[in-house]
Amino acid sequence: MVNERLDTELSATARQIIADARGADDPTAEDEARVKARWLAGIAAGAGVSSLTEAVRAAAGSGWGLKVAAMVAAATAASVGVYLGWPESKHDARPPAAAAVQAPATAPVVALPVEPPVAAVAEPAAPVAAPATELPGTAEVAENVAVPEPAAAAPVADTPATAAEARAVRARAVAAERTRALPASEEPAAAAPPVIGGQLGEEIALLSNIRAALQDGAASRALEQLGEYRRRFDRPSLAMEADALQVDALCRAGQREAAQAAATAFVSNWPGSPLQQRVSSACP
Amino acid sequence: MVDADDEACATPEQAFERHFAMVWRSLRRLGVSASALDDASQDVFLVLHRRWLDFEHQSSLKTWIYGILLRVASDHKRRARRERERWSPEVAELESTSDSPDRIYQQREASRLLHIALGQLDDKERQILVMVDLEETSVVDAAEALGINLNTAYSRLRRGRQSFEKALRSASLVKSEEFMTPPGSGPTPLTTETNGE
Repeated sequence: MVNERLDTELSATARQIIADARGADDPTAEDEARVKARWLAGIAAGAGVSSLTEAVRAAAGSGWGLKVAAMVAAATAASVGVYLGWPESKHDARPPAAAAVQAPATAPVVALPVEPPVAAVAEPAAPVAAPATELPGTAEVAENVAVPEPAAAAPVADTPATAAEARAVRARAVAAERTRALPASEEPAAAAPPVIGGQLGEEIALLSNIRAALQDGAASRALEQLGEYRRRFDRPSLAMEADALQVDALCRAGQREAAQAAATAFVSNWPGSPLQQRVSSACP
Repeated sequence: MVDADDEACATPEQAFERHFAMVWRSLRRLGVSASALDDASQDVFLVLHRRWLDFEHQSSLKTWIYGILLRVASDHKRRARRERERWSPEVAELESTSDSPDRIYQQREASRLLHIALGQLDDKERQILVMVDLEETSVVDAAEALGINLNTAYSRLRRGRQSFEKALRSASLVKSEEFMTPPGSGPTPLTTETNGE
């Protein structure tokens, strides 16, 4: 347990307690799956911090949160985040393709004076060549996410010393190029393969349809689609997001009592959810 | 070992799979509240993802991730403090029902003591103690993740261990019944007998 010799080592009792407590704070498989799904969705949404509420708080102060808060603001303003976004205003977040794919269409335009990208660029090898076998999601997404940083090309190191750096430069260049190409909209969305595959990708796609429906004022369609969501995914990764949308949809459909009941259920089902405040105030 | 570790993680996603549990429990043990764990652990990996290319393999991946998680943890705690939300020890929820009630009780009790004691340490002591004594990181790696020199790390660890022992002793005096009711059988006495793991 103790891996260094020190003049003050832990007593046998202390070591025993540590050993006994082993595993007590480990995440469950569900914890892992949930956070992973949200992480990938967050990457897809270009989010730098975990939720809009967090972003607002971060913006109010403190170090690294600040720069990413701006990115989140950009992402959510463009309503690309499936779970972050809230249909409060009209944007052209058109459904079919996965939400992440649409991101570049809107988000980057908002491009904020964020610090040089702590490299929103992710996966090195992927951006240009090989369609990323290893991490299809992130690699592709990374390109898109990188976009909101127009200054990207500028701060790049002058002499790429290592292969990694070279790749970084390339990735940033790609990102910068995309930024320029952006307003021409549909290009990335049309070209890119689904960013996140598998069930998660489908979930994201359906939820973004639902959000689009809500934005269009089609609350009953949104409700139908929420029903579809529940039928289709019996172990959903984005159940919290779906529940939140449900509250909003019910409210907009004029089913205020049901909406309030759903909001109450949400609060008890998702304690500590970053969406809680919004859900609670969704149907005043 | 370091190499094998890093080689196994060619992508952020693999890094997630390999290190998520460590990130999750370390955040918790560093004092991030249970309700903020989802957000905090997600933040760690969002940062990891953004900085993936900056990782230069001069330290192990685990050390690098630890550096990120330390910052995220203090950030979340600072925020929580601002909101005057105090960190009170919460008893870990145990999902593993395959364990015997005695074992579960023993684990809960140990976890309770651990959290109470960790809560008594100052941030610097807690950071290095969690890394070295709970996560079994070497002092060298811990020093690197913390950005401090080795001597400082050793003396901090020494102080941390002393405080921890002291805190454990006083924590043992707090009645566990205030926190939970033991399953069936009476409370099993803490420690002493070793069921070696």
